Parts: sequence; structure tokens; C-alpha cells
Amino acid sequence: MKILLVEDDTFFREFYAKKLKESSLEVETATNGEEGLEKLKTFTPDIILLDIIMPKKDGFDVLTEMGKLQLIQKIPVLVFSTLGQEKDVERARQLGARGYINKSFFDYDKLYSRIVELAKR
Amino acid sequence: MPLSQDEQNKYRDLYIKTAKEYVAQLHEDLKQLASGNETSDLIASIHRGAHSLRGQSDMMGYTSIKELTSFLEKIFDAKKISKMPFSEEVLRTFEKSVKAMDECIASIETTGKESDIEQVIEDLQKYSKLVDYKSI
Repeated sequence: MKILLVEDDTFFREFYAKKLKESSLEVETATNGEEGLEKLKTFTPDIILLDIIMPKKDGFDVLTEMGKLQLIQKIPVLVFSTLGQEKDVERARQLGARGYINKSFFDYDKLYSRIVELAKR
Repeated sequence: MPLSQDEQNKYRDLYIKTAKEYVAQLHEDLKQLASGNETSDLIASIHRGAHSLRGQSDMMGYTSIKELTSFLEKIFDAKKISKMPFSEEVLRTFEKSVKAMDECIASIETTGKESDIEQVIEDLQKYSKLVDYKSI
């Protein structure tokens, strides 16, 4: 299974990329929305883990752009949020995100099962 | 949930490295703000830095830094749409808060635990209560 992790925070990016790779998932990373969209030109993931608050293009820009390119129906997006971002998550859902994961509340089994569940659809 | 003790030990160096980078950027951004160079990019940068540091501190179980950054994040989220200027006293409170983060990170590096910064948290909390979040 192929994952694209779009996250500007080095700590979260490195932590989750390592954890996902330990489960034998193929992980590509991008440090902001612009880089994430660029990666999508050459890499087709089964699922995208998308941070919202990022420099250059943020998560909303990525979702909007994916909508224009008709990618949002093809590649499920899970928002990578923290507590207190309920409004951001709701806006992301309206733009086509399928759900969210609280990245500060580390529960790998939950994350892994969400990834498998969404990738199967 | 915060990481287990084993995982905390494993990722502490990465946390310290990235936390120091965020704090250095916050110092620089607040210096710009105090110099009167307020722009939407600058406010967004402070908000983003506080947000990121809050998230990773929460995950690592460093509650004092998490609380401080949580208040800063709320204040600067509100500031994105507010024209209300910060007073010199408030700017000093921000700077003290970021210095307290420096202290905590240094303490984590040497002892594995945060230092006591309760007073700074209370000072920042007092100001954050004055901000009108309903308009966000």
C-alpha cells in the first residue's frame, strides 16, 4: 500500500513515516502542500495523510486543487489534525476529505486500520 | 495519547531539535512584530509555529510547553482577522513565554523534564482570556 504523507512538521513527518514504513507500507513525504501536489504528478498513492496548517499551499489548497483535477474522488484523504481543529476538519470534509486522525494522540492501530479501510473502498 | 516512556526516550532528540527550531523562529518573528513589521505572513508564521510546537509537545507529554503554545496559537489565530494592536506589555508577555519555552527545552535536554513555568503560563492565559474567539 502506498501512502503520501504531507506534513510540514519535521517531528510528525519523521515519526509517522518511520512507523508506517515499519508496517511495510510504501511512504512518500512532502513538506508542504505545493510539494505534495507536485508529488502527485509522478506518484499515485492509495491514501493521502494531509496536514492542514502548512506554509506555501495549505491542506485546504491541496484539497481544492485535487477537486479541480478530479483526484479527490480517486484518492482518499485523511486529515492529519490536532485537538481544537474541529472547524478545519469540517471545512476539509466539505472539500472532500474522508475523515481525520488526531496526530498528537498516537494510536497506531487505529491509524493503520483507518488506512486499510479507506484504501479498500 | 502521549507516547510511552520508551517511545519518548526514542524520539526525545528529534523533539528537542525541532522544538529549538520553532522557538528560534518564534523569537525572530516576535522581534519583527515588536519592531512594527506586522504582516499577515508574519502572523501566520507565529500561528503555525505555535500550532506545530503545541502538537508535538502534546504527543511527547510536555504539558507546560503545550499549554503556552496553545494560548499563543489561539491568540494569533484570532489576530489573523483582528486589527487590534498588541500593547508593549503584551508583546513582553509573548517574549517571556518564548523564553520560558527555551528554558523548558533546555531542562528536557538535561533532566528529561520541563522546568516550572507556571507563572508565565498564568500571565499568558490572562491575556488569552481577553481575546474574542467568538469572531473566529
